[in-house]
Amino acid sequence: MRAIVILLLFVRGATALAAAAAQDPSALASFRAGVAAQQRGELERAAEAYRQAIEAEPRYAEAHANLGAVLARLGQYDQAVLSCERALLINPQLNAARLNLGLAHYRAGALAAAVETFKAAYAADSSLLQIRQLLGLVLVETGKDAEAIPHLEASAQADPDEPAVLYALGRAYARRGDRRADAVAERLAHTREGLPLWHQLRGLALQQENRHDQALAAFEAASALNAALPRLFVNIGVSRLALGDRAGARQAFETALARSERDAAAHVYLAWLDEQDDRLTDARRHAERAVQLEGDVSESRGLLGRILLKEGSTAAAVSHLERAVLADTENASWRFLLGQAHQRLGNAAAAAREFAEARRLKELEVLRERKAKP
Amino acid sequence: MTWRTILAAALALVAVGPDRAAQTPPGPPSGGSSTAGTFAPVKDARKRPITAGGFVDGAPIVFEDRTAGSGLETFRHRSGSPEKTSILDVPSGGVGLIDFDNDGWLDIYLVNGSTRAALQGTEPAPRAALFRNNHNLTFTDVTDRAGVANRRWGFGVAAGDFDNDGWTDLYVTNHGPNRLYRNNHDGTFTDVAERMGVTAGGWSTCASFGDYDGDGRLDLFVPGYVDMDPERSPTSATPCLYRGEPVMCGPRGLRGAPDRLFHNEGDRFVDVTARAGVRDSAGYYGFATAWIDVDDDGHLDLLVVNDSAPNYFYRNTGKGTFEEIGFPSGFSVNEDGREQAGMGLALGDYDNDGRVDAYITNFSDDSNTLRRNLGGAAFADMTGALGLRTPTLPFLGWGTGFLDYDNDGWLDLFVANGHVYPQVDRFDWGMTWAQRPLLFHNRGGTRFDEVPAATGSGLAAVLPARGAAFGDLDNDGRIDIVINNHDQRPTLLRNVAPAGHWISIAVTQSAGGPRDAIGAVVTVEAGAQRLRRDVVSGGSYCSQSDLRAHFGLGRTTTIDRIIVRWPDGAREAFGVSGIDRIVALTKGRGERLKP
Repeated sequence: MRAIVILLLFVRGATALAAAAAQDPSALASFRAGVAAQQRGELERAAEAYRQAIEAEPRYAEAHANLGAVLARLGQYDQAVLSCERALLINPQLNAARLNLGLAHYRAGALAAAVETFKAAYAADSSLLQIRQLLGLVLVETGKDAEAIPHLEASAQADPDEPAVLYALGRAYARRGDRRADAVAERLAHTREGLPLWHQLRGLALQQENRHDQALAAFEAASALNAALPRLFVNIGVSRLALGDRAGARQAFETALARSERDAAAHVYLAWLDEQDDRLTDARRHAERAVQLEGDVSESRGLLGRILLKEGSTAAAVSHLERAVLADTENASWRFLLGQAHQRLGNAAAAAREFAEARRLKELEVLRERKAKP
Repeated sequence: MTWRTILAAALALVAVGPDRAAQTPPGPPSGGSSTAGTFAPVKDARKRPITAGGFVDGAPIVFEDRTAGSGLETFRHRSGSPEKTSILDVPSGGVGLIDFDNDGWLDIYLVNGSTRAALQGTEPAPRAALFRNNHNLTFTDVTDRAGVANRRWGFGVAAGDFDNDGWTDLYVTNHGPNRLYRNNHDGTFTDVAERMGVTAGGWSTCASFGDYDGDGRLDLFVPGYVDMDPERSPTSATPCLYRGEPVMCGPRGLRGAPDRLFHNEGDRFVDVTARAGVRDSAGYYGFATAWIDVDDDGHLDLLVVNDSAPNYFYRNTGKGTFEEIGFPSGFSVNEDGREQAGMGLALGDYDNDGRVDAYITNFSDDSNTLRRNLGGAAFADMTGALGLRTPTLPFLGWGTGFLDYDNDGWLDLFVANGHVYPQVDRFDWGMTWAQRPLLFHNRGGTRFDEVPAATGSGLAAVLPARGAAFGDLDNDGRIDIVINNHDQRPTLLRNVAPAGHWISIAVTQSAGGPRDAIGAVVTVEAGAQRLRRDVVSGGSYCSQSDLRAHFGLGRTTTIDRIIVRWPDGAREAFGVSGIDRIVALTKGRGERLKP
């Protein structure tokens, strides 16, 4: 029987010790060397050691799982996902590998896959706090606030000072118009390192109310406390955009990208700005990167499809627009553009179907607004 | 790396999908009107918003403001409260250039709005006005004698000889019963709307005449805007905001008023809206309309510009019915797939390819949209490609027309502007309640360049404009413009641009079709040039322009022939002996051509 201790990407980083039994002594030795290297932060060396362990014993599940964790930290998400999946194929009970897989998906921007993986991990072990935390966060990321809230509430009860969880919880409540957002924000303000996130949360609430001047001030306050705050510059860009300051918005989105080239939102906004300025090549480059980063999110797919359509790359546009429509079946604009693409390609029946749907959906939008009247 | 920092970092790893989804520009309609987002103020060198500035000293004067002394200055438009607390207060009114007395000179009809006090009978109702042309660019108010004061809350005017007696009749739209002023041939009119069954009721806007079924009589389309009680301002569950400031609500969120199609049966009109397939089932907010043969199949199609909702393109099946093809044709939404706050409509063949193109004016923070007719009932949005996107963004456009102001053979574009929110003057948003008009010069069908607003000229007049009508008021071969200004006096813009040769063609038919030949297509052939003009009722914004087909000829001095495709599809060729003149062509007097 092997003693299984997996070095999880998320478990107290390099301090967690791994020791896993292996049939082959050299495999075990390599595995241990990998763990030691990983604890020292020598990720390349750790990866190499895990690969040697796997070469000596190809069905060494723990080695596959740890390799996945290391590759994820190296930014090699696709390879990380493959390694974690191999670990699970060998040993489906290895829940830690499932968590690593979820996190690799998450970091790769494959949010839907991350949600499913974390859900499976939660089903396998509902006692581990980290699973609920991650599941809650990723559910907020995908807009499933109602589903996220119980996980985040439970997480916040278990660890009341966790600012990331409180931030996500406050965001979820605020988006649902739930007054509990204020109480969560108060708690966030009083946690260690929570004040900048509190400012950001306030800024987002002001943004939601179209008070963009005040939102910008809140983001500036957040920035003064922690300029490295996640998404801060995208939020600043959004408010600048809403105030008509397109140059300032562009600068903010570019700053966001300078901080993290993997910020898909910044890419989408820059694609949109470039498209509006008729700089279609730049627009396409940003939209393609956004799609690469976040996969089947309706906006990035739709935007890329629209840009390709404007460039005359109709066949390429169709596939992106189809996926945009799949991701957001209620979006009349994507339907219209998909109809146009089909029309240009001579697919009359498909075009007619999409145009009819676009028309129906636009009508529904107008009717919904009327029904909202007192 | 601690768990806490990993969690915090996790927030940064991926995009904020749902947050961004709600915020990706353009946002939801602001203040009830669809826009393209928010744009930074554009100002001139003197820090004036470009909508009320940007004047150029020493630039050539193209249009002179000749309102003062013309007689038109005695008219003052009024509509609702100065604060514009209700949507009813803002869209009035149109203007018509019509030759009501058949003297060969265009007369002017100005629609007026009303006030709540007038509706309640506590103050006199504002009246519309008919000005007879004195043939010297002055006009005499003949409203009272003519009997066309309306004195209802008016919005638009369309002209057409609905009874085929050779005299132009007027249809005036209102909130409340509309008027059909039948021309009595003696300088007076009689309102026969009720007798003819075309009062419609509710809130009608920009009507237009056209013989859609080829029976020789003009039918009538009347778009509806919002279904509301004039005594009560529509409110919303949430404040109606424009750039975060409270403004009047609508039209989005409000119930739309129905559109109506009336078939002319000679002694009366019959409502055939549902039967013909032009029922506004979604209850969109109709503004400019026009009958035009978009696909050149010999049958008049119907274009309806909707405010903050997809436009309608009703393709005439030739069997008395229509098929709505707004989305497949590219007419409903712009190239981004977004509906716009459509107000006015200009029709004309800007690229001289023989097909009629369409230009629609929209809200501020959005561009007006030019659609090129590709043939086969399809349009392509050419706004950006033709240089027309950026210049119109700060402006809120209303009346518009294709006109060849310099007679170079290429149709230019004019837009009358003015905001709907008086509040815009209180903020540094780069837009103003009163706005200067825009004129774009057509560079050979491949680009439009803004004509500088020469200081002190008509293009530098800052106006709360609504309707605009185009026609040669002084018969000098250059197209002039009359603008109906909201809560103000109208503006008469006389064209003084150096201009090329021209010919103006009045087409009529004595039998077998509408006398005024609305729906006819006139083509001038001169060497390699083939220029097309359509005889259209309606268009612009709730206005009626000169029914004569005006052609700029540039340096061309000889016309090979003129071809008229009459409303019934028959084609005739005419020869002309000279240019720089107005000629009258009558059906049956030309050389018959194969259809």
